Amino acid sequence: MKQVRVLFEPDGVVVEGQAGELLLDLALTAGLPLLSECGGQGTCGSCRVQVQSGRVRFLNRSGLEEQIAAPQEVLACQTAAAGDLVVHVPPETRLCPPDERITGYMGPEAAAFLRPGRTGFALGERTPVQLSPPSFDDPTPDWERLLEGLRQARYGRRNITANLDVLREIPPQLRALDFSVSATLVDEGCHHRLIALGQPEQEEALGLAVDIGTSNVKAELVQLRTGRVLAGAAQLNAQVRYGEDVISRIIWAQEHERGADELQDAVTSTVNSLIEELLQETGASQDQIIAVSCAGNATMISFRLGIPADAIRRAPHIAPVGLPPMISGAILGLQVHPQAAVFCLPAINGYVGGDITGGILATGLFEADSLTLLIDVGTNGEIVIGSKDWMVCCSCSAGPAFEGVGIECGLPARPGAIESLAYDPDQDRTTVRTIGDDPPVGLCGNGLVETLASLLDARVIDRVGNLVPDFPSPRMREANGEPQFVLLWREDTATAKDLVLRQGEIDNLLRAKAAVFAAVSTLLEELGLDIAQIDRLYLAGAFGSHLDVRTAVEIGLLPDLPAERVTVAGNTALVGAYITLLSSEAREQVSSLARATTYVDLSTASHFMEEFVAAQMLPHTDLERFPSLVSSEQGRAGGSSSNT
Amino acid sequence: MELELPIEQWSDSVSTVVLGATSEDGGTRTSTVTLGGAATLPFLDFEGEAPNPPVLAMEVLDTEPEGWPEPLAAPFGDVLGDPAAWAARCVEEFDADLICLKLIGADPLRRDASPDECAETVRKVLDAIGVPLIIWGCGDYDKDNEVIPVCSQVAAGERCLLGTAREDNYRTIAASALADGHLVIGESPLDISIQKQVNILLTEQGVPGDRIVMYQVTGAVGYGVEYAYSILERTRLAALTGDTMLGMPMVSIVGSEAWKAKEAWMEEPAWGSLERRGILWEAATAELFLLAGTDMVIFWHPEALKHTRWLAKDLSKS
Repeated sequence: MKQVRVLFEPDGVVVEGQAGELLLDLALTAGLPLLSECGGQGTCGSCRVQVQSGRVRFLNRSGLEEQIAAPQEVLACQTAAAGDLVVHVPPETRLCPPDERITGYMGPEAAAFLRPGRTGFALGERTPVQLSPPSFDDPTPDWERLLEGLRQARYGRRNITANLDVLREIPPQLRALDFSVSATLVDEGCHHRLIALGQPEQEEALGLAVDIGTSNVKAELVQLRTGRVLAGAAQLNAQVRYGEDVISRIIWAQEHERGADELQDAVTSTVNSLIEELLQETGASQDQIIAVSCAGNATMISFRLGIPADAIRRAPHIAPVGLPPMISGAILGLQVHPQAAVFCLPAINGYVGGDITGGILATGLFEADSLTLLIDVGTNGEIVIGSKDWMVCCSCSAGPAFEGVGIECGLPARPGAIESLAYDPDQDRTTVRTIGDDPPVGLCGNGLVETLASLLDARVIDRVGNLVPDFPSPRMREANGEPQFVLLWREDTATAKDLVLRQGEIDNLLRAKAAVFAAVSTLLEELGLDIAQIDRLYLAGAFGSHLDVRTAVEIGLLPDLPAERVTVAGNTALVGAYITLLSSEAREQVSSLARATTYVDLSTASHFMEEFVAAQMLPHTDLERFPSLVSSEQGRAGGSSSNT
Repeated sequence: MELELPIEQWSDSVSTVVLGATSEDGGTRTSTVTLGGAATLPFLDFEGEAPNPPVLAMEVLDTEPEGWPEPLAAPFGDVLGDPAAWAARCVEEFDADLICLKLIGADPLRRDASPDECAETVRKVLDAIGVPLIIWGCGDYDKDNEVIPVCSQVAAGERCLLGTAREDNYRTIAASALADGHLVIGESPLDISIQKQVNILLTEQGVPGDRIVMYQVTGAVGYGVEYAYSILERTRLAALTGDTMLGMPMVSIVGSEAWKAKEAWMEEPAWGSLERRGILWEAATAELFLLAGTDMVIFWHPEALKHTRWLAKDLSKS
C-alpha cells in the first residue's frame, strides 16, 4: 500500500497514512477530530474541509483518483487520500471540546445529602485504622482483626468483603505498617468491599462524576473526603461518528460485526481521555480514583457496559437494565483503580435514563412540596412533572437542533459561539455576543433561541417560521432553491464565511421546540393539570445559564410561566452523578425515585401529534396559552383570541 | 309531566361572510350569497339562530373533463368544453347558488394555460352568470402565484372568493384579495391547528376575518370520512365557543372527491344501479359534511345538489 503524507492547515500537523484512508480518519490520527454528525454517511455535510492540493479519490462520485488543481471543498468522510495532500480544516468543522468548568443547579434538598453527618457513605472511602497487635490474650485472626477495627472506626454492622488478592496482602501489610493502616473501601450497596490497604498517610481518595451524553461527555474529579471538585472537563462523545442520535447508533451496533464493542470502546476512550486530562490538571494518579458515578441515558449506559441495547429501539422501549449492579472499573476498561466501584444512575425507561433521575435528584423535585416541572433538552427531550408525592415522566424526540447539530452555523457552547443575537431591521444590522468574546464562529443553543425571537420580531420570518421572501434586505437570499437569511456577513465572522440560517434549519428548530412544548402540554393534559399550577420549572440541558427565559417563552419553547418561577439548571445529570458519588443516602434515594416515577409513552397519548402541530408556530397556534404575551402581541396578531 | 329539552348555550357564532358584489357595492353581480352566521350546531335551530341556509355551489372546470362516467357527464350535454355555458347552465337549470371555477388547465402538468388565458376564462364566466364566483387555482404553488393575481384583477370589485391560501403560500393570494376587494379561502390538510395557523397568518397579513373561508382537504364517504367529520365538527365547536381564529365559515368540496371513489363509477352489478350510485355517493358525502358543520358545499352533479337541497330544507323545518 502506498504511503501518503497529509498536512493539515492551519495547525501545520503532518500525518502519515496509507492511500485509501479517509480524510476523516487521517484528521483523527492527526489529533484534529472533525464533526461528523451523520456518522460518515456523507449526508450531513458537517465534515467539510478544503483540499488545497494533491491527489484524492471521491467515494461519492466516480471513485476515480483526481488531481486537485484549485482549492476545493470536500466531505472528509467521502474523500480518501490518493497521494500527498494539503488540507485546510475550517474552524466550524472542528470538534473542539467545550473547555469550561461544568456547573449545574443543586437544590437545597439535594445539598442536604452532603451535609456532615448525613452523607452515609461515599461511593469510595479511605479510612485510617489503628489496630492492636495480636497476642496470646487476643488471638483474633488478621482479617477479623481488621474487620473489627473498621467496624469500630466507621462501618458499624455493615458487611465487609474483600477479593482474594487483597486478602493475601493483609498479613504482610499489617505487620509492615505496624498495625496502623489506611483501608480503602467501596460501597457496593449490600456490603462494603475492601479494595486496598496502605500507609495511614496515603494520598486523598478521589472520585469521578461523569455525564455520558449522546453528544457530549462531561466529567468532574472530586475529593471524596470533602466533596471538593478539583477539576472538570468535557469532550464530544466519540460515538458521534457512529450516528448523531441513539437510534442510529443502536442500529449501527447491530449491523456491524463487533459494532457494540466499537461503540463501547469509543465511549471508554472518551471517558479515559477526560480522566487523563483531569489527572494532568490536578497531578493526581490513576489509582487514586476509587469510585465513579455515571449519569447517562439508557442507551449510553448500555453501550458503556456493553449490554445489547436493542430493546430500547423496539416497542415498548424498555431499558435493558434499570439500575446496573456495581461494577469494577477495570472490567470496564477505565483508567482508574482496578477495583474502583462504578455506579450508574438508574433509568426509568428506555428513553428516560440516569441523566433524568440525576436531574430529579439534583433539583430536589422528589421532595418538592408543590408541583414542579423538569425539562431536559438534549438530543432527546425529557419531561418530569411531580412533587414529593408522585412523579410522572415522558420523553420526546426533539432532535439535536438546539445543541447546534444539524444546523450549519450551530455549535456547542464553546468560545466563539454566539450566545446572544439581535437583528435591527431599521439599520439592517446584527449585534452579537459570543462566549469568551471571541470572534463569532456559530450559534449555540442560547443564540439560536434569541435569533428566532429576533427574526420574528423584525418580521424576517412569519409566525410559522417562513422566511419572508420580499423582506427588504440583501441578507434575504436564496441558495440551491432554499431561502436563507444572512445573520452575519463574512467580514464579521471567524470563519470568513457568511453566517446564514436556512429555511430548513428554521423548520428544524421549530420542530424541536414544538416537540418539547407538545410533550409538556400532553403530559399536563394526561394528568389533568394546567401549566399555571406549576410552581417551579427547571430547564436543564442544552442551554447555558445566560438563557433569557422570557425569550424562550416568546418563541414558545417554554410554557408561559413568570420568569421568577423558572430556573435554568444547566447540567443536572452531572450534579446527580456528583451527589450520588458522595452519599449512599442519595444513591438509595435515586434508586427509589426511579422506581417511583411513572413513565407515560407519548406515542400512545392521543393528543401528542395534535399538540405538536399546534406548537409549530411562534409562540403557538393558541395564543391564549401565552397570556403574558397577548398584550404585547395584540397589535401584531390582529387581536386574535382563541380557546380551542 | 312535561319534559324540558336541554338547550346548549353557545358563547359565540360563526362569522358572516358575504360573497359577490352587486352594482350598489361596485360589482356587477345580480345577487349575493351569505355564508355562516350560525350560533348553533347544524340544524339545531331550536338552540340558536342559523340565519343562512347551507350554500350549494357547483364546480366548473376551465378544461373539458376527460373520462367522466356517463351518469356524471349526461346532464351537461355539450357545455363541458365551454366554461361560460357550463356555468350558466348550472345556475339557470340546476339551481346552483354560486359557481366555483377551477383553473385546472393552468397546471404545468396539464395545459399549462397562461395567466392571461385563465383571466379570460374568468371574465367569460363572470359575464355569463349573475351569481358570485369562486376562483380556485390549479394547486401548483408557483403557478397559482402567477395566475391568481391576474384573474383577481379582471374580477376586481366582484367580491369573489380566491382559493387557496396555504401555510407556506398565502402572501400573494392575500395581497391580491386585499388589492381587488376579494375574499380568501384558507386551506389546511385536515388539521385543525394548521387551519388556525393559516387563518392567523392571513389575519396578520391584513385580511379581515369576515373575508376568510376555511377549507379542510377532505375525501368522500368510505375514505376516512369519519376523521374529516370530526375535524369539521371540532372547528364548528371552536367557533361557537369563541375561538375567532377558527370562527370563519367552512367550504367543502364533494363533487370531485366523491367521483374519485370507485364505488361511484365502477361497473359492479352487486353494488346496484350505476345511474344512481355516483349521485348518491356525492349527496351522502355532502349531507354528512353539512351535518358536521360545513357552510358551503361544492358539487359536480346537479342531482346530488338537488337531493342535498331537499334534505337541508327538510332538516330545517322545525
